[in-house]
Amino acid sequence: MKSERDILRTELQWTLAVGAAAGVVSLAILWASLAHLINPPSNFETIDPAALHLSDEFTESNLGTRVEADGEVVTRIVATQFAFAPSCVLVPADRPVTMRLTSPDVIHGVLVTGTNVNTMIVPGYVSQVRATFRTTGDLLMPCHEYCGIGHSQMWAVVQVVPAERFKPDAQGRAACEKR
Amino acid sequence: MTTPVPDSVPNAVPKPVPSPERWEEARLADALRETPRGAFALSGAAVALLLMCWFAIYVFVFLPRGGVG
Repeated sequence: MKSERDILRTELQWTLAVGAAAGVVSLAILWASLAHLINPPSNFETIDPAALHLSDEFTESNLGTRVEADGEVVTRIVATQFAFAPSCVLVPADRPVTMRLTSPDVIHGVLVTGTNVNTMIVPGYVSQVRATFRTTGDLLMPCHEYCGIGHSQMWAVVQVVPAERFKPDAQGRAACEKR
Repeated sequence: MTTPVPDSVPNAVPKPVPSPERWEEARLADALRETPRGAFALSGAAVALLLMCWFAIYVFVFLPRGGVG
C-alpha cells in the first residue's frame, strides 16, 4: 500500500510533467507571436449598431472591396441574421487585405477556410483582421458563432484572384466575378 | 518391527491457508502497489498524444498559413 508521502510525490511529479507540457505550448505560442508576428486580431473600435445604415463606412453602397487612396485594400462586410452583406468579396492574392466587419443584431463569428482569419463580430464594435491570401480560388467564409435558427445557412465567399485579374473601377471598388 | 525415523523429516506441516478476507486484502495491496505506474503510463500516453497532435497542427497547418493581425 502506498503511503501518503508516496502519493504526494507522485502528484508532484505529475504536476511537474503537466507544467512542463503547458510551458512548452506557451513558449511555442510566444515564439509565433514574437518571431512570426502571428497574433489574435485585436481592434477596439465602437460603432452604433442601430445606425449602421447611416454611418459613413457601413452603408450598403460602401460595402465590399475597395482600394483606398493610399492603395490599401479594404473589405467591409456586415454580418446580419442570417447573411453576410455582400455575400462575396473579391480580394487580390499576395497583397495585404484589411477586413472590417460589424453586426447590427447579434454576435456572429467569421473564419475564412484555409487561412488564419478568424474573429468574432460583436454588435457595437468593428472587428478588423489584416491578412494576405496566398492561394487563389473561392474560400468559404461561414459564420462560426451560433446566431439563431438560420445560422447554418449563413456563409459568404472570399474570392481570391491573381493580382492581374484584380481590377478595381475608377472609384477603387472591386466586386466578385460572375460565377 | 518399527519404521526407522529419518534424520530430517520433510516439512509435512501445511502452510496456513489465509482466510478469504486476508487473501482479498493481499490482492488489493498488490494492485495498489502497481496503480501509480499504470496511471502514469495511461495519463502520460494521453498527454503525449495530445501534445503531438497540437504541435503537428501548429507546425504543419497554423504556421504555414501566415500571420494575421
